[in-house]
This record gives sequence, structure tokens and C-alpha cells, in this order.
Amino acid sequence: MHIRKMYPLWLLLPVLLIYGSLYIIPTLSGFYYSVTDWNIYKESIQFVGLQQYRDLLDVGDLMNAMKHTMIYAIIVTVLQNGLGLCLALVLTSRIVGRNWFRTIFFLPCVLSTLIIGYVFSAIYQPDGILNEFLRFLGLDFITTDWLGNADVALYSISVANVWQYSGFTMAIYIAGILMIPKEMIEASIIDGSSYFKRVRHVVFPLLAPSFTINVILSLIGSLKVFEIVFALTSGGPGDATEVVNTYIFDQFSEGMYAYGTAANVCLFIAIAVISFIALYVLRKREVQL
Amino acid sequence: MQRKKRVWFALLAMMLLVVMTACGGKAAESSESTATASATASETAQAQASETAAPKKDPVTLKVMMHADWAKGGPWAEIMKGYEQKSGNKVDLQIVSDNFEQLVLTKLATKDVPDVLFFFSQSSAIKKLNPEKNLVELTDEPYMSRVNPTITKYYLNEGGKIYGIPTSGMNVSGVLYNKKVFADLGLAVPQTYDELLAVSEKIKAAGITPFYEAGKDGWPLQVFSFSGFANLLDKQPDLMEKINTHQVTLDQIPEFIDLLQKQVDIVNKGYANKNLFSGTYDLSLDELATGKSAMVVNADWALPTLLAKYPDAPIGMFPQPFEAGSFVGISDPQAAYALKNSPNVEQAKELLAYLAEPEILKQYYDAAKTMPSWLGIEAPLNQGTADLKPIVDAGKAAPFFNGLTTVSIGDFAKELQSLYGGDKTAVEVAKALQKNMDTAAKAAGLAGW
Repeated sequence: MHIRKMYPLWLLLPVLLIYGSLYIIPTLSGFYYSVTDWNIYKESIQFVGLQQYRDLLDVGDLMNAMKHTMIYAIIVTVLQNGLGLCLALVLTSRIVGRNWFRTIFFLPCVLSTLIIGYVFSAIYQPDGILNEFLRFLGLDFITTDWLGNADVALYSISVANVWQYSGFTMAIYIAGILMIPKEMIEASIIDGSSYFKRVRHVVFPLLAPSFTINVILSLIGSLKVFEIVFALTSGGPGDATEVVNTYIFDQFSEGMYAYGTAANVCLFIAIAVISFIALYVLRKREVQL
Repeated sequence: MQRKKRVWFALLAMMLLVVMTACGGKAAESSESTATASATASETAQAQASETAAPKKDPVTLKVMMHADWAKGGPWAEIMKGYEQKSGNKVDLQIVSDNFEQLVLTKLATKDVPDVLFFFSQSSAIKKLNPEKNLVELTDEPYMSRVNPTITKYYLNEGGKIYGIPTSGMNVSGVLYNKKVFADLGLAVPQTYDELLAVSEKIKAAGITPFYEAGKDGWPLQVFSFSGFANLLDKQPDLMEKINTHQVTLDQIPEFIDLLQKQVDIVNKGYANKNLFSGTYDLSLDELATGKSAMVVNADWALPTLLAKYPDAPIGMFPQPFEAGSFVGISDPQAAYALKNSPNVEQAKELLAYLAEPEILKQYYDAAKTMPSWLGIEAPLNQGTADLKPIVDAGKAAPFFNGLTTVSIGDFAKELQSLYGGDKTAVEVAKALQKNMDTAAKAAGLAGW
């Protein structure tokens, strides 16, 4: 109750007002437009119920994009957290230049995604750095057109994304590791645990809150991926790397506004459901500790 | 109390989610990098203008909007300067580089319109501008009689009314080829598809890439079909009518399927560059100019860019060979439109009339070196364009078919990438294009769907 006296609730009003007018209302109006026939050819907008959603299911392109988005999200979430955790463990141990390395690994996530896109498209060129390096190692048989080959393009993009955001994940894990009471680590050392056992049974369980937030953030971030795909392949070749947001972008370019909005609502629902399930599962894990 | 808290928490969590997901969609729209370059005349020119030409009315500033690529294609800054001196008005030339179409449509929707707009000229594009409401009709303007009738027949109009004047040449599609490579190997220009394959085989044997395909950019892949369809339109004059009224679907046109198959066969037979999906338009011009590749399927709009970089490149053009006497495709020219809702409608119309004056047209075409969209303009042509001019003059030319459909066929380039990548067959590509048309036609409420 003391808290309420110090900060009256109405102080929230300005923020809620800005939030409401700039985010909530446009989003809710998005829900409304998805049940209309709004498009570039129409003078007036009419209510058509779930027609747009029916068309989305009939055409099936959204499902294809959704599939790519899911694959992408799983790869990115797993790799980004794996790599981020490894980096965090290494950079909280006593090694020389620790702070310097932390800065270096964090740096990519402050760069513009478009710039990362251009850098990686140079790396992925058929005669780019990556293939040259593989040839230098004598691994010619692995070389491919990393963005032009429809079978690997989606994975190439996810690697670029992982490279960019692993540092961010790392930063959260480092904070989590530093929060772990020293006594617990020392106790396990006295008990004669090996390094890996210590990580597995002491550090990792105590990192659960960091793990939850990292998984949720990378999951949501990769489900609504747009820029990096747009910069690297624009969804091509063909529709091999088409994700939901590039699909929506294409629909808007064609002037099919309500249709694109309906696709956006589908994405929103998918993200909401997946995030809530993930949050529920991960939270439960935290509680059990 | 507890319950209230929970409701608050749920509400806030909901808001957070909404915000997090909503931002993703917004990023696309906010990336409109509108490089708006103001190219008003230099101050000296203005000073001269006020001294020499005594303007009749109060001078106004006309906002003229165009795409950056078009601004590069002709001496627009000088032409506008000329207009400023003559009329006393000022011109604010707004040049947009990315997301041009979306930006224009957004500006129209928010009524933040320029006075004169340079835009595409197909009926389907004009339809998007909602011409009845937004554009000044130009059907009865005296200068309209000087526009090439082919252009007014196929382009510039919507619903039987003409709204724009052509502001670029007619671009013709075909095969750009390196004459030196052909001469060195003793090859003649192929007339039929089989001859084309034979020529490609010989070029390949000599260690030169026969065709360079810009698979990454995607759009150049469309030109093959544009040229091919021109032959089809000649043989079946009512074909477009049938497509536009849904009497025939694209996958039911065997000639169209055959066309797509012929296109992908060139790749399947190994006559195209390796790593096709890394190929870009710019690279295709480099490869062609330096003789590393012998042929590029595209249109003569590539010539000014290519010759600017390689002035002595021996580049010619021939019609895309399907059979003896093959047709070439003609692209839609860009066009200028006057906006109805602009406060300076009279001056905007005046500017269009100025752009249609023969001396100004001559000034443009002397620099652009493309086939004029206007009658009675003699202008120098680049070599490749000159190669195809006799064919156009003989009437063996028809417009790109994607400009003749009443609604868009969607992202043709993307479908062709799927075809080249082996993900779709020719029939599946045709079906996908038809599906795109169906969606748009239903949205527009067209008869027949």
C-alpha cells in the first residue's frame, strides 16, 4: 500500500495513452480490417466476415510461409541459446581480455540488420569468402551457392541471424551467471564436481530465469523475422525462404490490404499461442527448482 | 484484490505481446527510404528567369515526383530548368528511389499529392491511381494526336480515357548479344529456337557462357516470355480479351506453357551461367560487354547503362528467336500525369503541354537515344535499338502481356525462379500466375470471376 501512496496510478496515464493510440488502436483496427474486403481497387470497405481467412487457407501460400517461419524459429532459438550460453560460460571464466571479448561478441546486435544482410550476402556469394575458405581447406564438395540454393538458403539466413544476436543472448546469460551465489559454486567444487557436472547440475538450473527470457525473446524475434530475410533473399529463390512477414509485405505491395492484414492476424495468433505455451512450460521448470 | 491484479497483469501481458508482434509488420512500411532530392534550378537560373520572361501569373512551385531510375534515363533536370525559365514557375523535382509505387499510393490515400506525377502507364497501374477521382483527363488535348497510336491504344488509358503523356521511349525486348563473340566464332544471328540452341552449343564449346541469367534479381527472367507472348498476340488477337474475361486461364494456353518450357530448357541444357541465383542484372551487363557471356535476354533499356560503362562494347540486338520473323515485345513507357486535387492544376497541365513540345521531346530523345513514343521525332539510336527498329516499323511488335491484363499477374519473377530451381513445372507456374490473377480479380469485383 505504501507504494500506491508514493506513485499514484494515474501517473501511468500518459504512457497508456501513447501506448493505446500508437499501438493498441492500430492493432485492434488491424483485427477489424482483416474481416473486410479492403484492397486497392475498392472505393468503400465492406464487412465480409472470415472470407480473407478462408482465402488464405485455400491458397495455401501462407501455410508454406508459416512452415518456413517455424523451421527458422526453431533453428535460431536453439543455436542462439546454445551459442550464447557457451560464450557466457567462457567469458565468465578467468580468461585474458574477457571484457574486450564481451564487447566484441555483443557488437553485431547494435548494427543495422540491413548492413548485416549486405555483409553476409558478400560472404555467401558463390565465389565469396565462405566458399573460398572451404576450398582452401580442401572441402570443395561442401561449397554451394548459399543463398541461391533453395535447399540451404533458409539455413544460411538463420546462421546470419544467430551470428547477430548470440551476443545479446550471451549478455543476459552473463548477467544470470554473475547472479549465482559464489558459495554454491564453491560448495560444489569442495564436493569434488567436475566442470561439466558443475555446469549441468549447479549453473544451468540456477540460470532458469535467464533461460526463460532468452528463449522467449529469440522465439518471438525469429517468428516475426523480416529484415534479414528481405535483405538476403527477399523470400527467394522462388518461395524457398518466404516467411510470413515477407509474404505479408508482398500482399501489401499487390494492394491486397485486408488479405495481408488477415495474414498478420494469423501470425499474431501463432506467436501468442506459441509464446504462452513456451512461457508456461519454462516457468513450470523454474518453479520446480 | 488478487483477482484485480491478475486482470491487470493479463491486460499488460496482452499489450506487450501486441506491441512486440505489431512492430514486426511496421518495419516493412517504415523502411521507405525516400531519397527526396530537390532539384530546383540554380539561383542564377532563377534570377535570369525573373529578368527575361515576365510571368503572367503569380509564380507557383510545382511538385513533380518521379522514380530515381527514370531521372537517370533523361535530362530531366535541364528540361525542368527550361520550363522554370519559360514560365517563371518553380519546379520541385522529388526523386524517389525505393518503394516508389507504395509511396505514391500512400500519398494519394493521404491526399498529400504532387502536382505532376511520373508513373507507370499500363491500365492496371493507372487503375491503382483511381483515375476518375485523382487524374486530369487528357484525351482531348491537342498534343495527344502526336503520340504514337500503338502507345495510346495499349497504354496511358483506363476505361477508354487517356490520362497521361509518355515521358520515355518505347523499349523493345529481345536478345542483346556480343557481336565480337559471334564474329570470332563465325556465328550468324539465329532465326528460330533450334538455331538458337545450335548457336548456344557452339558458344559453350568455345568456353563462353551462352546466356547470362540474372536469377538473383529475378525480374530479367520475365523478358523471355514477354517477347514470346508478342508472337502469340499476333496469331490470337482476342487472346488478351479472353484472359481478361476469364474465358481462358493461363494454364490452358499450350503456347504459353511451351514458352515457359523453352525458357527453362535453355538452363536445363546447360547454356546459362552457373550459380544462376547469384546472377544480377548489373553483372549480366558486365559479362556481356566483356565477352565472358555471349547473350543476355533483356530489353534495350540496358544499352544506355551498359554503354556508359563500356562505351566501345560491340553490342547488338536480335528478336528473341522462336520462328522465322519473330516479334519483339514493347514495354510500357513511363508517363506523366496531372493530379486533379492539386491546387495548381492549370500550371500542371501547362507543364505537361511544355513536355509535349517537339523541341523538348527532341532534347529528351537526343539524350536518351531510345525509340520515341511520339510521332515525327527523329533521334539518334543506340546500336542495339537501331537493329530492332526495322522490325518495329514493320509492325512486328506487341506489348508486354503483363501490362495488358486488367489485374496484376503477381510476382512473375518469383514464379520463374521456382521454375528454374525445379520447384515448379511450367504448368504449375502458369497455374500460380492464374491464381494471383483470380485473387486480384475477385478483390476488384471483375465480371467473369
